[in-house]
Amino acid sequence: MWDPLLRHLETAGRDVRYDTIGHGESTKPPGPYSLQLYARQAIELLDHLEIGSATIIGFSLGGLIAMAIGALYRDRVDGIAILNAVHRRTPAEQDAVELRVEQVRGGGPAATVDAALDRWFTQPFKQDNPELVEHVRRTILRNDPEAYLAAYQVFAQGGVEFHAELDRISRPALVATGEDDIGSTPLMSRRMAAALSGDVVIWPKLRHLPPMEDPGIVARTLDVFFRATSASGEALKASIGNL
Amino acid sequence: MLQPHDGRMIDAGGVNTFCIDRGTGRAVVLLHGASLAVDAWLTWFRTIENLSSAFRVASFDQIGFGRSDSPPGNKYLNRLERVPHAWAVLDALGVEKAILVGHSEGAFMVARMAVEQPKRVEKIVLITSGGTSPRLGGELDRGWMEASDAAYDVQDGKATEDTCIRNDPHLRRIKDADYERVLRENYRRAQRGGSYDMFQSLPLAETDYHLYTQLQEQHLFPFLGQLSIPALLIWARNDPTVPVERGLKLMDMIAGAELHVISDAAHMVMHDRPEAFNGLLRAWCAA
Repeated sequence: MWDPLLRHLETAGRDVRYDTIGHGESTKPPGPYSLQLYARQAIELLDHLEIGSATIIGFSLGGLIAMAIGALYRDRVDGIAILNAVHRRTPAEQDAVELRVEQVRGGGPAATVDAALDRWFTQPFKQDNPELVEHVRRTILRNDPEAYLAAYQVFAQGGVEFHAELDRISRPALVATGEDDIGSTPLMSRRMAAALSGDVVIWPKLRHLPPMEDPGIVARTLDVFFRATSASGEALKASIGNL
Repeated sequence: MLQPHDGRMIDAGGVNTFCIDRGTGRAVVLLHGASLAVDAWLTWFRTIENLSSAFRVASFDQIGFGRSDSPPGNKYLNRLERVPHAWAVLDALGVEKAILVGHSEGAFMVARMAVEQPKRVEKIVLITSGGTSPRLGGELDRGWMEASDAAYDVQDGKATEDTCIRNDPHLRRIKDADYERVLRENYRRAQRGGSYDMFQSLPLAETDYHLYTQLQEQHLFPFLGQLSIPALLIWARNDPTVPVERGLKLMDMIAGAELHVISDAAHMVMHDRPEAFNGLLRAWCAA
């Protein structure tokens, strides 16, 4: 997930990447999962690594986790960068994601992967990078079906339990998404940033996976954020899946 | 800190023009917006200082502003009519190709220059500009029009030095002695020179916001679709005169434009959040 981005990042301090619960090589306990659980995983990781505080960078579900870490453990947070995350879905958007939850419940990751890849990458990028897209597809399909469903349910709930807390986080915040990300829309990013008193960046012509499709533009945005907030040292990146 | 006397007067197409030209490297040209007491130094002093260690940074007082000549007959030139002077400045400085950065009405000029002579423009940066971005349509425009009326009402002698300081969008947010000193000096210079008088009798198209956007509708929007120059839009979240919605609509018109919305900042975003603003501009220009 983060390799291409880190190659472009100029301001990288010590970076910690990890698989969130239910993903990749990390533990896959039975569900349900919650953002509280994910936040506690991150904090225990910081404790284990003896890191006092860090800048949290989260992508998609990871963005919701970053928000939860900020709300629950603000003393451990130097800044928050939320990439391509959902915020306050409209009823129609909520219906759409709940339909996908049902599809995943019935057919596992395979039930939604094709539609997902269309939502995540632009058409020209898919055509020009078949191997990378295939790699992402295989990574999705490798997910444990039970854990994938449990994580997807957290994503579908959208972190609503933390929305009232956002203005109390009071840490430097950046919220960014792709202009054409129809799941995590520019409007969502703007509203989330407003609640966090943070900055917004809308990347042109990108969908849900700018960190993979255009890691250079994402790195530049994060470099600016790190320099402006003087956040140095530890950067903790929560990722959804070891894409 | 740099001082305005680090600048110099140049002849730009027969217009005596105040210009600050610092640093070496790729050229970045900064264009200020249009309001009483606004000029290059007030707008850009923090940006010049920051960027000139990496770029050749040139900024100038537009015709009728700051230390530059007044227009013939002291008749206000609108943002389209000021474009030829901007080209003359680039010619006089020997700048063949540049990254053009425009704030407020300066953004209109930058976009128009990119349309007129794209070969001379490497990239464009458009900053929180009501004189460049589209209207929202109908009732949705009421808010920013009223805010602009309140912010830019300088006719009929209403703009005293006191109101100028009190209503300044940056000083309303942050106490800033350096900025306030420059603003006061500019106000007094505008009174001594012709600027103040020029602003007392603006054409209706400058003060009626239903007419104001016609300039970009006629002279910019029809050409933006063909633009293939990297574009960055920097908007301020707390600028009631140019809501973010208008930046998003402008983004839709320029293929590949990137939009950054800086929080906790109003119209003078480069002074409200100088680290964030200069850091972004520097990184984007260098990329």
